[in-house]
Amino acid sequence: MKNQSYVELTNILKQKIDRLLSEKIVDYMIVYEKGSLWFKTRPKMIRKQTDMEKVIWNRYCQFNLSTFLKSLSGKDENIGIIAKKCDLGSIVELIKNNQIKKENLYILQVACDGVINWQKLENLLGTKVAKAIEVEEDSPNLVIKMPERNIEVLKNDCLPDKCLICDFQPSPYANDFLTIVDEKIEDIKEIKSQPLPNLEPLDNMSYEERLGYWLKHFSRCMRCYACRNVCPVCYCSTCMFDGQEGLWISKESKTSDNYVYHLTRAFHVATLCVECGECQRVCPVNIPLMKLNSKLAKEISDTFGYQAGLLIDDLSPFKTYCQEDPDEFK
Amino acid sequence: MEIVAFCCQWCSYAGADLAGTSRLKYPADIRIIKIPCSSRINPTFILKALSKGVDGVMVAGCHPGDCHYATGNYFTRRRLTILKRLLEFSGINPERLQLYWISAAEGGKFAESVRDMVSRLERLQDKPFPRNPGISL
Repeated sequence: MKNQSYVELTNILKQKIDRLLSEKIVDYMIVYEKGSLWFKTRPKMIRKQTDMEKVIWNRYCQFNLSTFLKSLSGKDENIGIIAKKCDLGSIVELIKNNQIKKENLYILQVACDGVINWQKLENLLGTKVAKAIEVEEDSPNLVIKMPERNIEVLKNDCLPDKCLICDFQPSPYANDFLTIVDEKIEDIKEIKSQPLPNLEPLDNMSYEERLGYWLKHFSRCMRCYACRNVCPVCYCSTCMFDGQEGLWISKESKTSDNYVYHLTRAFHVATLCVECGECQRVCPVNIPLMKLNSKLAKEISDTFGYQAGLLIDDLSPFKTYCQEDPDEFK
Repeated sequence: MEIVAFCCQWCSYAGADLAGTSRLKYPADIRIIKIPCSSRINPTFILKALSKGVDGVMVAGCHPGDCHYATGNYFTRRRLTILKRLLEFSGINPERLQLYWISAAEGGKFAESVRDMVSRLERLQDKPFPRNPGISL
């Protein structure tokens, strides 16, 4: 989408939110606002129409706002939320697992043709994104306007993995879908023709090499728990790693304990994970956590034919059973 | 060799008891932990045991359909199937985790299962998780 399209969409979005707040359809809206730098965004809860000016929608709105829904469950307020197609999956999981009531939620899906991961862009440019003045889209490229010259990069190289496999279509669970033009349809075809990101380069390794690979990554973990806290579907009110008594693993960051922590975290969200990639995005030491999540999602889909985040009425495979399940044990 | 065995208290633990009272011989490499039902197993139990450097983890429960809590072991079966794939992916040979169905009347099968587990582990070439010296199970 062109920058102009984003401006138009933001205006439509503001009108829409204005109506939702003035007609008291929602008590507050969870939206994006401008962050500390021009290419950054941050979440904002708006209750008053006077705050409306802060609402934005642009290609840097990469994170998943539904993370903030899990701490709000149980309060009897109507919440409005801006969601991309990928965020809808985690909202569906929260509704499915009774973390939030569908009738208390107003989901405003906004047209999106891929958000930009500025860390990827930075790696591609080899210089700070903050030095650039503006980014404009010239499909399939992005034009980065630097003070001295313009740099063109392929847009797909700057997208998070989730965008490369997204169809950007309206979700049946959204209350409203905001879009402006039909230019999107062409974009979808281009993106669909791209090869899927290679998620499992570990296949050819021996067990020892794999263990070494993971221990190398986990040895960097400082147990900041950002991956757990940001996860939109990791919703237990008391985490098993937070207790003061009956510690399963020590609080210190020890490689073997980090291994237990990360595998447990991945397994706990195995049937809930919609592969939004937030855990990997927030990791301060760049542990490839999505490899674990994608692997589990693939195994669950292969074994039980279940995919998280699609249908509210689907039952999670770990909450049910079937007598004819594959039995590789004796 | 060290093997941690999680035995459900209604079937497998009683099966182990029977193996003992029947004076059946089986390798002395296992440490049995009694659990209420095989579905009490949290993946963390298994991961923690393996990360401490044990050679294998054995989970034993009632035969499918015979669970004391009617359906518990069906859930265990689903979870451990997936957990084995995760272990495989993250560098632990999935042979190191085995699930056996042993009823209270199967003392012989309990002894057989332990022998099976030990012989499986002896065949493995890869090293288990590095063992921290001075840490007891």
